[in-house]
Amino acid sequence: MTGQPPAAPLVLVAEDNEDNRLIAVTILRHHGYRIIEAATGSEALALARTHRPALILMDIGMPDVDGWTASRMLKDDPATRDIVILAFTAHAMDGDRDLARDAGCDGYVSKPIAPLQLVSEVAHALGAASSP
Amino acid sequence: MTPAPRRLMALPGVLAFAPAVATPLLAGALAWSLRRDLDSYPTSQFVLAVLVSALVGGWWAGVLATAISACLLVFVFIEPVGQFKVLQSGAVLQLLLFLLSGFATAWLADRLRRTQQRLHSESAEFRAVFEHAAIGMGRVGFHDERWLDVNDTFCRMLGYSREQMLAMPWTAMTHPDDVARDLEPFRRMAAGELESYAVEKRLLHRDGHAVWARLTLSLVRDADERPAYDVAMIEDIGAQHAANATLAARAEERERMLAAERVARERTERLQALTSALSAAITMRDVVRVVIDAGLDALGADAGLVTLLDPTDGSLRLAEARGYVRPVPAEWNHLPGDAAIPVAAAVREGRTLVLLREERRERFPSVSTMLDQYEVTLAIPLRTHGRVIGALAVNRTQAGDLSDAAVAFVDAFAQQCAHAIERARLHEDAIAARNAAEAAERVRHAREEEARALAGALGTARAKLAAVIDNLPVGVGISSADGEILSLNRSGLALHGFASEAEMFAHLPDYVRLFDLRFPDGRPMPVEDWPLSRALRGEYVRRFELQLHRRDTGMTHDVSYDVVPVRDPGGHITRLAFVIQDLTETKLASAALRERTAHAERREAQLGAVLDRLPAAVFITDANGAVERVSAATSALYGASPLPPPTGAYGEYEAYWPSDHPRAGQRVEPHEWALARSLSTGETVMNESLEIVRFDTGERRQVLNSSAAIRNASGAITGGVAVLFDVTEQAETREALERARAESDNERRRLRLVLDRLPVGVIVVDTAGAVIHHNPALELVLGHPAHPADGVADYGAYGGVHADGRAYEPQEYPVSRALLRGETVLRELTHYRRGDGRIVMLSISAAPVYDGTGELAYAVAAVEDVHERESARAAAELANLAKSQFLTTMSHELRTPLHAIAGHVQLVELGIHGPVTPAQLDALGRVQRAQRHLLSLINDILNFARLDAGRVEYHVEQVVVNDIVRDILPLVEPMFAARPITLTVDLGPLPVIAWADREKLEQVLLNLLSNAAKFTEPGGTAHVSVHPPEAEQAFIRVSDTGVGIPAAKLAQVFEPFVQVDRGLTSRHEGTGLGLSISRTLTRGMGGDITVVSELGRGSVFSVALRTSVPSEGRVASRRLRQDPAPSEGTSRASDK
Repeated sequence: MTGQPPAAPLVLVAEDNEDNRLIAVTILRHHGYRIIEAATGSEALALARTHRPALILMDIGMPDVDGWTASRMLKDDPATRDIVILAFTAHAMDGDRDLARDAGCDGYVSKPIAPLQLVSEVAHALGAASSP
Repeated sequence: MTPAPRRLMALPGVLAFAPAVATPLLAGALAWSLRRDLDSYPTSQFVLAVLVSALVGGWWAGVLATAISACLLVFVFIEPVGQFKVLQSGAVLQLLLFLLSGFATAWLADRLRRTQQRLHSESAEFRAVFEHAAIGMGRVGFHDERWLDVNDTFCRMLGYSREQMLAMPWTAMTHPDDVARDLEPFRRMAAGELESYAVEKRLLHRDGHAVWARLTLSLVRDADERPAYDVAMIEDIGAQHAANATLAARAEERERMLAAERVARERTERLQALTSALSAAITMRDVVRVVIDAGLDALGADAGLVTLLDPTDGSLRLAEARGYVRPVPAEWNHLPGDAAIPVAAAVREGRTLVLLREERRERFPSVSTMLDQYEVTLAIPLRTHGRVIGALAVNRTQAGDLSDAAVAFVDAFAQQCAHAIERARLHEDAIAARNAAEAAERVRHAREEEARALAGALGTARAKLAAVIDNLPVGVGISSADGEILSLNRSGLALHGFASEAEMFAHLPDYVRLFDLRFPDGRPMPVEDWPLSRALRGEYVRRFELQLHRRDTGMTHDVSYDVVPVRDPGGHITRLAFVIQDLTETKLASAALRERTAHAERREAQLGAVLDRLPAAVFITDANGAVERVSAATSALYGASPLPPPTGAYGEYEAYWPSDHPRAGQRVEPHEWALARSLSTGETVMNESLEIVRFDTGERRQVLNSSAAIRNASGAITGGVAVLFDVTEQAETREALERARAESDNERRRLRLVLDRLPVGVIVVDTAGAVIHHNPALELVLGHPAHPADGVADYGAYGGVHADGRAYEPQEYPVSRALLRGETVLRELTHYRRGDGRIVMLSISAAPVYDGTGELAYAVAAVEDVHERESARAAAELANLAKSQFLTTMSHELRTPLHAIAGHVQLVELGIHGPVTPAQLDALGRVQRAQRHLLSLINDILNFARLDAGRVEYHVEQVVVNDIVRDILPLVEPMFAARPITLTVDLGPLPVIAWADREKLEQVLLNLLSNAAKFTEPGGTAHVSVHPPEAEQAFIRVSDTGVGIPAAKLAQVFEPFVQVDRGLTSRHEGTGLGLSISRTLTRGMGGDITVVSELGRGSVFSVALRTSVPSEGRVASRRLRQDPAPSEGTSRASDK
């Protein structure tokens, strides 16, 4: 482990399944990202507004506020519009891709999580400049 | 559901632990035999052992297997260090990891097993409902024309065994005419647009007869809310259907017969009444009155008029008008022939005009105010012998019957009227001619009398001469021998235009200048031809006709002169006596007489023509009964031409009294003939029934005989007329109608019998709401008497109740709605509180019944207790829904922890939790493979469950088969290379296009190719080829040189859970579901898989795909909606 540079991007992992969340958090933290976690949609919204993460991994099937709704609310709010949102979905279908785009998501990652692929998707979404 | 998992579950608990001990030991032994080769650590075998143990024995068996496996692993991992055998730390970690994955696997397998058990018990409940339902039930999928499942009731209904039912397509057990009956709703259901529907159709019993059944299909959706299959409920409604059909057909037939009979009878009666009325009317005025009265009545009209055509100028004169609310306009009394009035148009066009209000407004705007309140106007030309003599117009406030037959009747009616009018006109003309002739005769007679009187007077009483002469109606005068008038009586003076003799004498010298005499043709008469001049020459002037013209006044008289010279004894003319007779009136009278005579002759000729065309036998006789004329139809009736001349009083004409006469069967005596009675007493006989005998065949014809005396103006009988209508056919028709009515009554009794035996309650209510009929079943269903009695309180407050418990208002019952609004209610489900207080579900149908005239007569309702059926349906739907929700949950629940295992193992593998040794990496790889294997097993089982439930959606489109085969090669080539097995490919020269679901086809090919790789020994060969279409099918063949399939097993190879050699299961991993899934998928796309194989030589699997357009209903290519909506069937069930 190298120390986290102060400029390391902050990533919000919003996922209700503890296993999945743990896997995503572990691999991203291992690759130098700063992480905050949320287990519900409303928690994710609150954290996104207070911490302004660079990227949110947004699970779609969360309790209370679902991922589509949360994404749309964040993208409709000028204060959080710039946050990159990757939809985290178990339904790897074309229709979900369209739904993700409609909700304002910048991309999507399908489950089950392949850790290395997740890292490359996140890095790609944040762009080369902001990669740690 | 297949029996295999059920047997697995049924192992007794103790036995379940046997594999928990045996399988790890077996795995250990295998590992041991591999002499601790580090590359062959049997971790995966142990995990599999744990899985099998846990699946079979549950959680504790899994834990036991893990423990035993761990012990064996310890034994394997112990390595010699010097003289000690120690456990390296890497091995400890691997052991721990194994324990972790072992417990996890055991836990998961246990959950899988429990859910399988729950699945099984849910299925069993569903099966129980399904199997023991009292109605036929079945499940039918969308991609195969076969039943997925049927219950015994359904099998019994059609007489097949369950196996036969499942083996044959449902189209084969549907009546060919009804196959298409519900294809559209079925297709919509397959597309997920429709949740349920019911249809009545004929199914075919095994012995070939049709069974009427009501099918109620409800859609069941899979976990993804796609249509999976239908639950069908099949009720045998044959008896009800047949009874309803018979009832309706008989009632309709009866109504039709009664209506036809009524119309025929009415029309006959109307025509007869008209004939009677017309024959009683003699004068034109009477005839026209009869025509208008009978016309309005017979044609159902409210107002009408008769106009007669004036042949001289083509104008129309109004003869009679009745019933008009507004006064008939004065100009209608005499209409020009080109008037824009319906009657005038009918006369011009010579055809009957049927004018509805709109058309009449458009064509005849001028009559709008007069006629606008009438819905329809009929303008009918009155025609005799092709000549239009006038027109009849009738107006109805309601359109009434305007059928061709009705219009034809109107025409026939008008014809009869026209004949009567023509007859009246002939009659009146004849009377007028006779009157005129008689008047002329009287005048002449009078004149002759006068002349004789004058001559007598002259001869006998000279003294009275002057006085007599003066009063004579003819001019009488005396002139001198030189022509000078000496005296002239009063008539003579008047003829000359003089008031007195004095005035005449004043003008006398100028007589020749004042008067101008002309010949009757108007030529001037020279003075020497003047009668007096001729008489002076000695001529005896007798009835010398001339025109006497007075110049100063212009007066002209046609006169005749008689001049007698008076001679003295010496023979010299001394005086002239002359008589001037005014011929003006006589001339007019004789001209009229001539004209009338010609007219009467013409009419006589027309009468003859009329007689020859009359469809009735007519005898016209003189006052003594001698026949003067007969109509042409007379010969036809009697079958003799010419007719034998009747001598005496018709003795040759044989006739008998009919059965309803007091002298039935006896011969009609000559004096009894209607005509003989009319001639002797003057009575008019109407429609007396007789049976006459034809001269030629001797056949008896039934006739209606009418007769009347003909009277002259003074009322004396001058002749008689008898009319005989042949009514034999009408009588036969009437008998036939009576027979039909009797038959219909029988039919009604039979129907009533059927009604009484019907298991469905039937009630018939008249318009007043009174029950006029009900069958016994009705009271059974309702639980109270059909007729409310005094003891009604004993039956509680029975009647329909709404879902909220409110009682039905009287007008809410289906039968009330049928009566009040003419509504037809079909199988309305109604909660009903029976007489015993129990609330049941009734299916009520009601319909209004109309009589022949279209009036609502009564309403009929059928009531059926469907309580049991509806409850069963609701239960079946709930069970189905539970199963489908369960499958959805399962697929998510089982996969999520497996994905977590994979994720965490990868994290460890990546070294994120610390450095990893090569041995650990290897172990992690095994965990990953085991995880993937477990995942694929679960996927297979869930896939199979979904297929079994018919919950797979197909996106069938036209695909290029060669491309699909080429695309999957990279996926399978590594498998073949690893064995190694030589894989050869022949994609063919041309693109092959077929209908398939690309993903499903890829899955099938992957399965077949991986089987080829799995079951072929290293060094063998496999071949995949694409074949061009033949008989609308394209083929992909996968062949190998593998173990092959014994002939005895070929048939089972596509059954689930079958592998050729169960003993090889451990070597050829898998569930044995692959081929079963592949075939189901291929069939779902409209294709099929077949296999040819030889044991030890290899197998050839052929995938056939359709190249023609697949039939609709089996393919759902639409993407289905995401939002789950509660199915209609479910919500209805919960409403109750």
